[in-house]
Amino acid sequence: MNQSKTITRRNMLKGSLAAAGGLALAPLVTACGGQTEGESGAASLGRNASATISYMYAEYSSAGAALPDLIRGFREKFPNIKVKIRSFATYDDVLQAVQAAGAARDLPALAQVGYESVAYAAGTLPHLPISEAAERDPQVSGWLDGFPKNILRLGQADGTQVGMPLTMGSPFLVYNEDLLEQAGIGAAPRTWPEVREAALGIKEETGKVGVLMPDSDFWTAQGLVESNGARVLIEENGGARTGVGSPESVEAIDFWAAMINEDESSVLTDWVQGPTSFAKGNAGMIVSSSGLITSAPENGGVRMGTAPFPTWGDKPRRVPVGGNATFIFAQEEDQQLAAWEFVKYVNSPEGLGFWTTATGYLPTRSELAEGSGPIAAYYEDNPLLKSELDQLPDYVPWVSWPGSEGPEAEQALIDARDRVLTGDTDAATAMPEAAERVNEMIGS
Amino acid sequence: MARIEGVKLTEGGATKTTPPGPERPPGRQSKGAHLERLAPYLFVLPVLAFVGVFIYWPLAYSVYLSMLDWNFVSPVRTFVGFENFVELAGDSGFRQALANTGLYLLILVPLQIVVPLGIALLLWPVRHSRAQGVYRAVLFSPTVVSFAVAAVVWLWIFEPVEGVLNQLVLATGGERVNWLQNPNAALGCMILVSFWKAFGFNLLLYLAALEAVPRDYLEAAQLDGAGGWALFWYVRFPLMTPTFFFVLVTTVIFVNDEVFAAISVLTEGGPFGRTANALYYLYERGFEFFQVGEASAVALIIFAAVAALTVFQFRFVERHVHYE
Repeated sequence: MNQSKTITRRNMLKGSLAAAGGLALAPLVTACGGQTEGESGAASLGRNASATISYMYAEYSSAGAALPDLIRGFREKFPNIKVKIRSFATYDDVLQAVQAAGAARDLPALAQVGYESVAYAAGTLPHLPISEAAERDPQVSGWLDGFPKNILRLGQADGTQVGMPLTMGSPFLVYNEDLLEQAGIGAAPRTWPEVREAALGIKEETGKVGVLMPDSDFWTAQGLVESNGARVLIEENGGARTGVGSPESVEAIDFWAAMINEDESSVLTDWVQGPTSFAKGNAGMIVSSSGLITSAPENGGVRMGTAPFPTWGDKPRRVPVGGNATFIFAQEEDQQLAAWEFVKYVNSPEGLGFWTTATGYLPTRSELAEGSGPIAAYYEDNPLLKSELDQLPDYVPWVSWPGSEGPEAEQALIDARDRVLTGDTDAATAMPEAAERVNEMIGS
Repeated sequence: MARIEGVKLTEGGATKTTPPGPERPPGRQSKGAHLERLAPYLFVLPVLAFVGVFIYWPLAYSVYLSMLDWNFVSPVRTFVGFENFVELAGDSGFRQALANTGLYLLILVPLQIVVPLGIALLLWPVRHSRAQGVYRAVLFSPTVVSFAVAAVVWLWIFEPVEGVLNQLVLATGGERVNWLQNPNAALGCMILVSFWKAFGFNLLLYLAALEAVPRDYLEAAQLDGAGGWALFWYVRFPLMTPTFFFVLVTTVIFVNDEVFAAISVLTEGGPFGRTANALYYLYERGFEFFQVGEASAVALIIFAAVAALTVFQFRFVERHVHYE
């Protein structure tokens, strides 16, 4: 079962999608509260058509504060489309609410689905795939071609673009410069053995916790084991299995447990208490996301530095992308059209530019943040975020379990990991057992 | 004046015969008589409807759902018979939840029954003091505080790096404890928080029961030389047994709910299921994993267990209750 609840899943969400060039809003056609036929015969929602759509989202700090302003911008373009928002603490909560709404035959028009639940949502809940919505719209031919394929994959299930990636973030290392100096550590650690050594040094020299690795789900753990060569989800020969029982995975989890139970330089914590403890200066390092950076001024102003997610020596870094894809769950055609207009707006240069600078989320196209890109200046002004931006090429999808038992499969991994990290058992016992259970659940 | 068909009694006792009413065919009764017979049922109909819709219908529907493999949303519902029950029997997570439920009952029920009684007896001598209202308000306040609000405070207390509890431990030379991640500590935390949340209600019930003991009995006992413990054990306690029985029955029924609140906000059943009780397991199955069949099967098992416990209490404990 998960750690303490207040926010059980804090995926780092930074996302600003650069829309493909040439996104333009649908031409304005006067209509009386309904849809009109466009030039090609396909339906599009006229500017004066009215609709009320509901949007369920996860309120992660800055995201929750920015959304109303984003909607305000949308309503300036579509004054007669009302967007009713409902916030939830985590993506899990959103998914539960959507499923409950589905049982009541009252699905929201739009909802944020965490990347780890994309396959489950696509296979379980009635929705309008983004690819289909785009095909129906004659005004935006080839709309999806403007987005990087590796980013689009975050919102795909069985090769279909079911959701539109909106927010993106990955775990990286944030450190307290003062505590590192006090411990005599000259440079930020780059590898996991260096992290362990630095954590021990911080604990011995300052009495503070060396490193925190919050992980209420299996997000940080995925980065840890996959960077060591393991694969959490292996899809092959038309089927799927998990590789968390492999020697590389066992080694990585055991390493983590040693920092907690042997060195006592780390403490198992969650996405609320961990960042809070770090922001108060009680820990030397934390594996976190950009939310910590953007909310730091509110948390006491620790002098922070950042570094990419540590590696295992020369092995390539693999960091899972956290965030959400927007799903269209609307069932009525006018609701679908209104929802599609909202998706297009959010992913337009205007929408994405606002979203990135308001939330600190990563852009889905790195060129927006480079050179003369529209948000390059933002990253110049926020150098701490560059570490996360620099590891964009190392992004891998956050595992989205196939089948109807995805949530249970993830819980099995979380429980196994926690058994090791609390010293209840070792990874060589727990991880292969968990792998066997997960393989049964995903129908391997 | 009374009226008997055919006879009317006057005040002076004289009788006067009144002509009988129109003759009715044998077996047919007046509309008034029909209405009179139906009236009780009409009066209870609204309550019966409410109970039927919100209690008995969901119970019957749960029996049906427990035999399905379904996720609330899919149009396909697969009938699996008793397979969900069989799977639960082999599920180590469910067995752990049942074991935890038993632990919570064994520890929390005595605590919730005995400790509030002890506190009530301590408060009793000062019941007329000016501060008694303050005592009652302070001790009852956890019961009325929202658990969501209380959870924020408890999370701060249990915070593993610099939480209040760990600061006390470190200050006394101990080692930092991860209160909500250590399986044994986490269970203790759930018991502590649940007890803290609920004891005030039983305390108020006991105070009211103490107040209801007739002074005559107490004075008579004192005249006979009873004091202190004898006064309590031979006079007060027997007269408090109806309240004691009520506290026992309701505590057994609701202790699961109280612990559920603590689990859902503090540990979500973790670490690795070591704090989950059967009710939380049901919630997780039904609303996080969307396994409606299994969740309904768990619900029926809980219902049967609580019903059995309640029947046991009424059959074997109630005989010791003094209602007069």
